[in-house]
Amino acid sequence: MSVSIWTQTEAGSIYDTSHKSGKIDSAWTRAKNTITGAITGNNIVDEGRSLLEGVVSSVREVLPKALSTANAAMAQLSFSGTTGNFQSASEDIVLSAKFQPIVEQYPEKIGSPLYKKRYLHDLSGFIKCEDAVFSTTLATSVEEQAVEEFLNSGFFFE
Amino acid sequence: MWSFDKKRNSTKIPEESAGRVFNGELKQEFTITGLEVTFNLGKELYAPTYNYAYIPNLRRYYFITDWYYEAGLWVAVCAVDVLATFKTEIGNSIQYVTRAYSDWDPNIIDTAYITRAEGIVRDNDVLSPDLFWGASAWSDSGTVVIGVVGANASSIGAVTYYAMAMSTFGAFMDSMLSGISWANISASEISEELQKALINPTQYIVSCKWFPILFSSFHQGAITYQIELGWWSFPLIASAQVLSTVSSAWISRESYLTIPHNPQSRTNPRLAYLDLAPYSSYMLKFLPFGIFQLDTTELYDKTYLGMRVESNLMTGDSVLKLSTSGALGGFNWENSFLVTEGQIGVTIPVGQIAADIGKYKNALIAGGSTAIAEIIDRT
Repeated sequence: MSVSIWTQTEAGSIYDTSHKSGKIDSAWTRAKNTITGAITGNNIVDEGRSLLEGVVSSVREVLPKALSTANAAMAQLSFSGTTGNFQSASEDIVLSAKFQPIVEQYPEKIGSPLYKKRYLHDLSGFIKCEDAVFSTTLATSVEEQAVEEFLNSGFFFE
Repeated sequence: MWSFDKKRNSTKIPEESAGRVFNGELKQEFTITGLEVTFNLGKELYAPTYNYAYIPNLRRYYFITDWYYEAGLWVAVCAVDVLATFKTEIGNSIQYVTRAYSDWDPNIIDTAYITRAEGIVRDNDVLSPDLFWGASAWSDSGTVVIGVVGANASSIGAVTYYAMAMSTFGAFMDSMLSGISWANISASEISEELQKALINPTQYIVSCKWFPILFSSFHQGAITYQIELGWWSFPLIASAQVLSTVSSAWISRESYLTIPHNPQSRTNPRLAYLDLAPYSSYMLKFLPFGIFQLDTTELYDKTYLGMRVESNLMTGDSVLKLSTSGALGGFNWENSFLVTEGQIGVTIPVGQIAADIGKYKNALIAGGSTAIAEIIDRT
């Protein structure tokens, strides 16, 4: 059977190009044979059977590997919880302290913190005041200032 | 005049009887704070013996800061002693006193003294966990709380929680797994071996936790001698308690430690502040809650550190509260200075076959993709 292949150009004219390509003839021949086989029922059955046998063979060979892969990832046994820690319940409860000493004290010389308002005659020994104000009619301002300086820098009431 | 030893910054006044009265003449020009006085003391008396004077006419005390000899007379150079002169007025004044010898506040940190790296003292107080919990982790004591799916009208959800002694739990597990007769299925219906394959009793135990609490001191729920497990009832060799209410599933334990104090603060009342940071530091190790550095201001001036643990027996979730007190029993848990969470219950594994849907899904995807890849390669 002769076959003509018609090609349409961009300009719109149609002409036979089958003589330009032997490959087209060859492809057509294979297709024709296949169609012929389909009509007679011989070639397509054989080819289909062969294809299915190949798939089944592959599956038989590959499936165990796949199942093995799946099996390795599956949980075979689990527990209702994780193993706890008895250790912590057996440890002593400890309150530990560290004390750092200070240098020798000399409160007679420098006193100790008080930070309170006081009548000075209620105290004795070393006294140091903050922003002391001293005023009396018996003293000059120079003397009052001198007293305030003593009170602010520390003095001994004795 | 006196021969008198006193500090320049002192209000000290000599005894009148210890002095000697002399007549002198003020030099023509002087100030009240600084002046010179001429004395005719004769040849016998050595004037520089005296270093302190009171001039009645001026009503002031003076330090004699220098002497010089002029035209056969001793001249005293004097500077007023304002502290002695106005001692009464100074004493009657009210001042804001920052430091004093005769009165102090031991709660104020005295920064005048620096610390020494040498001579650090360590101290501690230890409480055995047995004393706190009432049971030892290494003994057969302690309480096991299991959550069991079974018939019980008073269960919490589908699960009933039973508390029992460790030995009772062991006997229960043994009776459950050593035979299948408890299932009450005739061997003529289903063989015993098949029953064992079909029935997995551990699947009904959904949780199992051990608590370091002596079961004999445990009084949380109604007493029972059997466990309802799935469709079956298991007798127990000893009593268990059913934690049928949420409140019964909570338990608390309290105890205390004695707070160590800085040795210097104990021997010197001025140094109480040494129990505070940075002079003192405290660490509490209470597992499984952790190791904590404690705020020294919370322990300051207190004798006891109280510890209270509240535990949920269903989950083991627990809360540790710390409080301090000067006397036993005076702990205020509502105002605990430290509250932290932890897990007291120790989970005991109970084996059972389980299907992890997520893992199955991932496994099947991995296996399937491998198979498809192989087939594609072969075709």
